[in-house]
Amino acid sequence: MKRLLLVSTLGLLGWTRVASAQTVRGVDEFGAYGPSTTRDGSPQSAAVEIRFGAYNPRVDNSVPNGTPYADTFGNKTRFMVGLEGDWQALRIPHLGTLGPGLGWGYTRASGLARLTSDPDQISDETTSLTIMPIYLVAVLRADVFPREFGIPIVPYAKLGMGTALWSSSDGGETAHAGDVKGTGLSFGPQYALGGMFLLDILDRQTARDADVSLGINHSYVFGEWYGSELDAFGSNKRMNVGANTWVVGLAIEF
Amino acid sequence: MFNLRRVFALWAVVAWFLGSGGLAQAQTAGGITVTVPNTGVQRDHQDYAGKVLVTQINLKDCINEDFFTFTVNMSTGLGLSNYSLEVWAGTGCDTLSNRNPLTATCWRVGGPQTPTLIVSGLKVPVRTLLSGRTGGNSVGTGGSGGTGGTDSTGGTGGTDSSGGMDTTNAGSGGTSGSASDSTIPSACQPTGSITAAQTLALYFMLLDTSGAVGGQAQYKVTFKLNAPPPPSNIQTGVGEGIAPISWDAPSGTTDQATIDGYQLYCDPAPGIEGVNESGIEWDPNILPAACPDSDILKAGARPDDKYKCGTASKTSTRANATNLINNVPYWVSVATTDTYRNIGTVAEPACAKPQPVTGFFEAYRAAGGEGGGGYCSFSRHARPVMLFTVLGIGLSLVLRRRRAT
Repeated sequence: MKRLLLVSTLGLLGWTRVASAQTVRGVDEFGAYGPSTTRDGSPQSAAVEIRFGAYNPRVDNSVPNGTPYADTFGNKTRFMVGLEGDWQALRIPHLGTLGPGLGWGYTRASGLARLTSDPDQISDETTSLTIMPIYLVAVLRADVFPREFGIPIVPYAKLGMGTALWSSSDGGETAHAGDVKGTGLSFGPQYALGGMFLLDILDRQTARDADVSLGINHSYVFGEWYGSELDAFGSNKRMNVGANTWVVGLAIEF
Repeated sequence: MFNLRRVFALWAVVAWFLGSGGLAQAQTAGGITVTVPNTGVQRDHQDYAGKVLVTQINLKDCINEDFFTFTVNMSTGLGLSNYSLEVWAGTGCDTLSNRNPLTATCWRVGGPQTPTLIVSGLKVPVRTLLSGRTGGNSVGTGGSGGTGGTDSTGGTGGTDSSGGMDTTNAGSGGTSGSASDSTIPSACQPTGSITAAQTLALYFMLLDTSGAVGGQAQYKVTFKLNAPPPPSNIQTGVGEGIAPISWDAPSGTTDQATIDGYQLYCDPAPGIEGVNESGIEWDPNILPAACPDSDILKAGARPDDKYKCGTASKTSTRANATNLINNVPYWVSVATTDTYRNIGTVAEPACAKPQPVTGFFEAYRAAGGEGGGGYCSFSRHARPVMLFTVLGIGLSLVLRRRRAT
């Protein structure tokens, strides 16, 4: 099985070629010049995503007793905003692009601390958990469907490593439990499966103009199922602030 | 659209503006030009020095007897012996009648001094500067009384037109305006209920024996002695070592325009020292029933700085009083602060009783969670198989890419 995986991986790599060729193109007051663009438009080497989605960290999975996250913040859905930038380093003919992607997100949950003398009562002191996930993933975008079949859907997959800086505060100050400071770093694998809808088909002329004037090849809306196991690969020494969740957003390729 | 003529005109305006910013207004009258360079203006112990303009005066500057020190330059040394250098404050001070005791709108704040080509170290006390403004003190009328000020106990007498501070003829006090704060010297009493900053012109004049002006310069200062009124509806909550406080902002449009933030006060003062100093009786294990009466934190009071226990921005209506001791009863209140760093009087206080609470991180650790301890803490118990797998795949991609190029 391992050998099969290795052979498959090497085969895939051997099939690829460098994504963008060197071309001299541009736009001046008389219009676009240089080699004629293909149906792909200007050279394409990167993608950027603006991301928004639910985020309920799996903190309670990383403790042996109780559900401190749910007890403090409730079961209300929290949200995350984020950005991701991908370098489409390789183009795989008849499939799509492959390259590394770097992402960042931000989410915060806050609630009111409970009285120590009577845990059934809440105080007026705000307690919070702020999480900043950062990840490095390999991104495969199968844009063969719009390029070769005219279907405006691009499935994609991401796999890599994620980490998250987290901090907890009480009353506006960094929280402490005894001498232990309420900040930490968690890490683990990160993966995602999603699909992008090509917006260019809604207004092809505007899409072409954006390519000629701004170098934006394509724009998309996307939906993604996203998972991260930020528990240091099963260690209970880290707070698991990863999540299995959905993300939607806008993406452009340029 | 942008021809050269317009560009040059714009530059000329900019150059004129920048050039005029370096000097106080200089005027020639009688042949000698007097200038007060901005770089020659110093304050001895201005409140928030360096964070506010050197021309700004607030209540604390007056109470603490701050003073200006000016350097004054003359265009020539010829004929200076015919004059004395005097500094007057008020309106139209270069007109003799405005310095006349009977019709004065000005009062002398510095000099007379023998002028030289460069006069340095010319001192103008802030209290003297403020003493003659319309209000609790008279304007150069020899201390015959205020013209409608705030000092209900009577002014201390204005600076008369001949220059001396009149301490014998106390002003009779204003007939209008709000009651004054007896802890504030009369020269520093705010003018009525005015909360906006006011401008005061200083006239640096060469005067001969007949009072004629041989040269003069003006320098403008601004003063603001009233912070906006305190917020209302002070509410407190429970926190650990803190007291969450909320309030309603003052509603007046003028007040809101000059609010720069809020200052929180606590009695006893923050920290264990404050509790010990207060002499309050408390048990660290028993929640107190109520707050004992406070002589310090009462509505309308101006507590000492040692009772400060927190701040809030001007848009806030809640903040935490910090560095409090659990199970100690605290009176807490809020005052406004303004753009001149004045702190107003406090609102009706409320009673707060901090006590231990359990925040998220404490709950997490109590549930057996072992995370935390800082961003740089590492565990040796992690299983790095997946980590190395992912790193290996990444490395393969990079190497492959290198070979391709």
